[in-house]
Amino acid sequence: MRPLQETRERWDSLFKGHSSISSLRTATTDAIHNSNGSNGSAPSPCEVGLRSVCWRLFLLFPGFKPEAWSRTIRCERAAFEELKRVHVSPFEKAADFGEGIDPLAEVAENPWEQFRKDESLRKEIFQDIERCMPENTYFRDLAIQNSLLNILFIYCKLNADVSYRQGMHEIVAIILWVVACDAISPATHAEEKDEEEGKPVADESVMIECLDHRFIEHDTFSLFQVIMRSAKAWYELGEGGSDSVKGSGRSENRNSSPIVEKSKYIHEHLLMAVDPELAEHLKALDVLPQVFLIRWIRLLFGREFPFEELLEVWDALFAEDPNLQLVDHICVAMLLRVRWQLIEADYSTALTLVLRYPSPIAPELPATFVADAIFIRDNPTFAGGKHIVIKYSKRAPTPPVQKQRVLKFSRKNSPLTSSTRFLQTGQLESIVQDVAKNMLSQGERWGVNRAVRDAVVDIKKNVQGFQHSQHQQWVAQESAREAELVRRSRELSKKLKADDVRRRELEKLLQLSIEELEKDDLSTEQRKVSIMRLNHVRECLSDGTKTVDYTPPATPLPETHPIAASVPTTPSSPVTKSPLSGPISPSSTSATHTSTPTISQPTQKQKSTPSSLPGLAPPPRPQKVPTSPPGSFVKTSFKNNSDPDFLTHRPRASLAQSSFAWMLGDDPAAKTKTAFVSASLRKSGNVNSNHGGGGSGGGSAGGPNGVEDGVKVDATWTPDVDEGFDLERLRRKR
Amino acid sequence: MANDEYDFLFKVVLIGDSGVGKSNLLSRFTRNEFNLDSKSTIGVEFATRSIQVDTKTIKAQIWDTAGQERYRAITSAYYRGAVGALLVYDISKQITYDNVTRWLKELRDHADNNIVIMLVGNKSDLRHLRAVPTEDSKNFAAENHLSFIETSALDSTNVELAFQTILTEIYRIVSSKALDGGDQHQVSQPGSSQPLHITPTAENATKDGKCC
Repeated sequence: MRPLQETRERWDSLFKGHSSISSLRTATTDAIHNSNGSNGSAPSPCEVGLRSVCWRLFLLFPGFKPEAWSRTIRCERAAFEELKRVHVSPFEKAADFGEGIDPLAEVAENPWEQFRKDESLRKEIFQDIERCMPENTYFRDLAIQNSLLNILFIYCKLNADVSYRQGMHEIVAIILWVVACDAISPATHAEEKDEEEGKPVADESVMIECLDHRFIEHDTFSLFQVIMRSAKAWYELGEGGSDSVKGSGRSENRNSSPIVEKSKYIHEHLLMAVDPELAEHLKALDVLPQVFLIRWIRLLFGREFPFEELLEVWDALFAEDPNLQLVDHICVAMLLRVRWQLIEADYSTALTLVLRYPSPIAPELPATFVADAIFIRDNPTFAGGKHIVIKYSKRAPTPPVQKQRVLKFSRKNSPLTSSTRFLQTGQLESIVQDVAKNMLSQGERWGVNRAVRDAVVDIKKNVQGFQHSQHQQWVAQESAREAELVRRSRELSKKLKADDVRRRELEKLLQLSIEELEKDDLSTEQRKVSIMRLNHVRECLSDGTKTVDYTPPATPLPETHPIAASVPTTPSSPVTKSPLSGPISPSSTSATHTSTPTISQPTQKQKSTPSSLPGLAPPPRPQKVPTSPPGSFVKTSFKNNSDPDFLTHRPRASLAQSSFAWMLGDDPAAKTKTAFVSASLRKSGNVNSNHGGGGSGGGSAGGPNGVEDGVKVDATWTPDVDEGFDLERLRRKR
Repeated sequence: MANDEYDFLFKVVLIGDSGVGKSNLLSRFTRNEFNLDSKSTIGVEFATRSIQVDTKTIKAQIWDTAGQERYRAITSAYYRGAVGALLVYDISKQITYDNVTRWLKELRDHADNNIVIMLVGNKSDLRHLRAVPTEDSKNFAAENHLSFIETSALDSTNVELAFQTILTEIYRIVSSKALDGGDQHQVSQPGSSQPLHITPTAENATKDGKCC
């Protein structure tokens, strides 16, 4: 509790700089953005003002004008008073009710029966209250404990479906603490009243009413109820309580509680979108999200951060999202902050890390998680997650698409090493699909999207700048920014143009391959060539810097397509194998291939522009067009790309050397998960191979690829389901 | 914790009513700490410790959960893969002992059939407040094929022994199973081990490792 004078100053500071709830909200969230000390902007109004008033403004009060609060305050307090009379008073004068009824009579309507139930509920609640915030002596006061008990008990009576669940007590305790801190201490109130007698301060009546120490319990209940409107579901059990299927963790889908569903959603949707690698890693480790999220979420992070810093998290959370949906994103932000530790962790380490979350140290106080969460909410993409990861670690996570592609490819082994045997339609199609998918995602990897986003952010900043400054200085700044924007957009369009050219060239290569492969009487050599071409396309797509310059094998092929080279193709040349599509359709030309190959040498100049390149030229080497402007797409086009993925590009290592080389072997043992008992590698194979998991999803870590910790499993790759790219569609696109 | 070597990894869960001292048993065993005013557990806690049995290193992965979490949200995640359970009650609170049968039912419903269970009467230091006679618990444990021990996390009595006993028991079952199946597995492909139930099946069970 504070003296009147200090309260008055704080009260005034709340209303000085702010004219509306939204400006107060903005000031609160802005404060966290600057909490890393880089910017000396105003501290949070919750800090310097009155936190309890801010919270009530964010969550409870109808408007910003204090005059409007009185009604709400009075209603809420009267309601609580009434609830207390109904539910709590029986315990204060237990003997009064149920007069004339035998307390031991076992009839349903015996009020004693209910009384006994309530009493055991109060006991259950009190057991937690006694253990609540043991480090804070304030909560050892019996009167305070009784307040907590009353609030929780009344809440349970009103919400019998959920009743009391462990964890609620800490939410109430924190609210009570905040409300009590802001209450005007009765002693100084009386003192100053005496001093100021005779000069009524009309302005202050609301303040004094609002912060009346006699209603701490009432006001706490009001705030608790509002928070529980969102948080109640996290304590619900779901239909059927829990799954009854023995030992099977997989059965959680049925009847699972809202908190489990929420945890899954956070893991499998939110985290998966911003950091698929991390999400997959947690999945592979079999760290179930609800195991740690249940506490993070139910307590609103109450056990994860030091008390004072937790209050700042709540400030920003309530200011930003009174419905508390942002909690999900805060969880994601927290996971991203320890991303690298998690990625490197085995099961035990990972679980320990999230269950004993390392509280961030200044300047990155926990409130920064809210800032990150807002960013992630607004940018729920890999790029958004990457931004956050880089912000704190200066390291960029692996782009998801590339990773996926590499994994997929390695599974099949390189088509280059295999011969015709490789040529099975399914595999071929999947390569083509890979290529198509990559084309779509290429924009992201080439940094185009990012550049666009940056430009948009700049524009946003400019707009904000308009609102805040009116001076010459500003004009100079803006023109500089504008110039920067113009430069960026120029760069951007240049890049887009280059990309477009490149894309078209790749498309041609693809088309060519498709046409050839569609031929019924395709020779082995032709197939090989096509496959190699496809492979080249794939490489080009995976590596944005690679020049589209496909040179067929140096060894002369026994047969090729002499006609094709001279075919006067047009951009609209038919690509279907329908005989109706014209005399120079692939099917008709393919029948005539007889002579020696016309392999283009790298030095050979190409006069044709990309758009007029023959779609059928069998030794396709047309893409290097160094002289023509649109074709000047070479590595230099990307030199100024700042995307770190670009800079770190290295020549492809052989598959056997790669970090995923283990995938080349198809070890079934490595795919099993979660051995609850397993032997370490250093022991004999005998031990290893004989202890698998028991019962619920157990598995063994034995086998050549077994890992030390029985629960660490790498081989959790699952084949991708095709995402709707097929040859037919590719053709249509064309 | 992360890169230590071990021969076996056993997951053991602590169950029992709220306030019986599960978290302190965990902290006493894994960190040799005791906290008189410990907070109530929300969700789960987790700690590991390795012990030696014979010449083998056994890493115990011990899970502690909120007492109120019976039949609750994370039940299946909690019991998943557990090979041992310490069913804890408070010797000074009759009701926590009365609820032991409910916890046994919970284990029957959610844990592996072969989970090794030990009944633990905690807070044995509260002699003057004892509400549950040792003999009662002993008889109950015998009837239900459970091992039984009384502990005090506060003064450390028997805490080490309790964990040692249950881990050893699990280890014995596991290694007997390993010997049974060892030869035939060497004959078959050594690399392609299959998930095995580590605890004996009903036919070859020789220990009182069955819960029901």
